Amino acid sequence: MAELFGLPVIQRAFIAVLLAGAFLPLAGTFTILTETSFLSAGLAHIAFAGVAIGYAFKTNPLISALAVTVVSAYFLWMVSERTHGKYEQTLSILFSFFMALGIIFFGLSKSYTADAISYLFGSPLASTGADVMLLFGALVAYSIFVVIYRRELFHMVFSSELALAAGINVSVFRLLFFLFTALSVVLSMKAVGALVVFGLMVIPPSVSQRFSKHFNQMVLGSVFVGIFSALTGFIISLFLDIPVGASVVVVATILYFISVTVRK
Amino acid sequence: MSEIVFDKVSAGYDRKIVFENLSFTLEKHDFMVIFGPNGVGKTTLAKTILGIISPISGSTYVLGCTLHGVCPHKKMIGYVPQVYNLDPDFPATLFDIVLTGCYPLLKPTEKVHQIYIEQAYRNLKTVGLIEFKDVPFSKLSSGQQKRGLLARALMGPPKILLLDEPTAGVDLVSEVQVNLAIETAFRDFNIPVIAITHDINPYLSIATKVIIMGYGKHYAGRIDEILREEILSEIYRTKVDVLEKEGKRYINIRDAHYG
Ligand SMILES: Nc1ncnc2c1ncn2[C@@H]1O[C@H](COP(=O)(O)OP(=O)(O)OP(=O)(O)O)[C@@H](O)[C@H]1O
Ligand SMILES: [Mg+2]
Repeated sequence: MAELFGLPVIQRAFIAVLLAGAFLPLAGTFTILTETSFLSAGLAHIAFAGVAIGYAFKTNPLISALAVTVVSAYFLWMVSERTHGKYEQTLSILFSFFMALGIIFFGLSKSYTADAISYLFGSPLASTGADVMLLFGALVAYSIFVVIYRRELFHMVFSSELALAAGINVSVFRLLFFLFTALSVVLSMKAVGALVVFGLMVIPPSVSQRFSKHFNQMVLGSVFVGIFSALTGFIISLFLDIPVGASVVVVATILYFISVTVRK
Repeated sequence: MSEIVFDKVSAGYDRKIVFENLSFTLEKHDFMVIFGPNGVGKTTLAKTILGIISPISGSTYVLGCTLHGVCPHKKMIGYVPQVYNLDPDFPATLFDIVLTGCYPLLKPTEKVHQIYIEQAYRNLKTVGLIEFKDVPFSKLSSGQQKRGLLARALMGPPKILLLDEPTAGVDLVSEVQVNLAIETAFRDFNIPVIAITHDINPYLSIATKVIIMGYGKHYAGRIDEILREEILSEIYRTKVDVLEKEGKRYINIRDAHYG
């Protein structure tokens, strides 16, 4: 075990998983409180289609995933602005369309199928230094954003009408929130896998919400639960030789069931 | 200088006009009551004052701001909304929610000053909810939430108090308490009040101005000019009496048949 952690590749993988374990719950907290979890699920699938498209066109899959997901998030935000938040139908259609594209391009990129699958199930061992740096940079940027605008964010999730009346530019905050959600999904995908990104976005905040009396508590709590699940899940995955992302989500789910049985 | 001037303002949603050509002014010493049947656009008017809705036509002046839409000056309006929905597990106590009333006054790096904390305590006492301060806001009854939102709106204090049915769903004793809190704010903070209500009677002794809104029609002006039987009867399409008893006026619907 100790020797394993001496290997740079394991260290990188470990850090990547921890960062994803912090980033996804942080973004997820806001999706839970604004009842937009479907957004994260949808964006995760769109991101995977972006990866398949990237392999098919022999470009950097991370860049194509980023482009597809960020553009989709921006488009969904525009629809949401025009329809007073009713973008779910558009998201369902985009989601299905990109899954279809993903399947088509997945088939086209035969020689890369294994690589593409690594994004689906996650392969933290394949994380490069650049991957880790990007994830770290985005997490730091999002954390700074959340700390600086904690009051505006709280006001908004409490009531967008009162936030508007308080002079907050709700529309811009919503755009940033959509974009950061897209970013968290794409950058975490390689570490934990597109299939479980959603789990890490919703489970830790749900655990934290059960114990939180205050908004700040819930935000910090979900990051804490996320990091704890990532850490424990990573170690378990090394012992049992199972995919990391899945192991992390299983740990988080166990924490959730414990939190349901323990009284507030 | 007036605090609010509306000149021939029309507003609504997605090209559906709710009210048209509404003009009124609100001075610093005014207590304005807005009333009228359901669905005539009272809440829409409140949102237009706040800048949440931009008028379709006409000009607005609110606290020095002539721009339509949201503007930094307008955040100095203490607002109690009519309705809103909250996730039953929302992580915030009543005290947290009351404190949000001072958030627009703080820079990101500023901490919540002790003055505001004291103010929040005082406001909670004023609305009679101090013993509930640590209760999750979403676990309060809707009448208690309304009173909590009044405590929130009084933070600052604001430059205008805008209340959309502040006593709807509030019990009898608390209604007296809420109205007392509103009157105290009006007198002590020396700020104008706009109160949307279905029951104007509790405000008749203090109100200076009134807007009576009806379907496709409205009257705005000084209360002694506007609050007349023929206007009320026309708006509500039934016989309405304005009675006087011991020097106090009150409104009575004689016959509840519309027609
Ligand atoms: N967000 C909205 N989008 C479209 N139409 C709306 C919206 N909100 C209200 N309306 C419509 O505008 C009209 C005025 O509504 P408003 O809520 O302002 O009435 P009100 O006078 O406050 O009624 P009440 O006494 O029931 O509170 C109604 O016909 C209503 O259906
Ligand atoms: Mg209304």
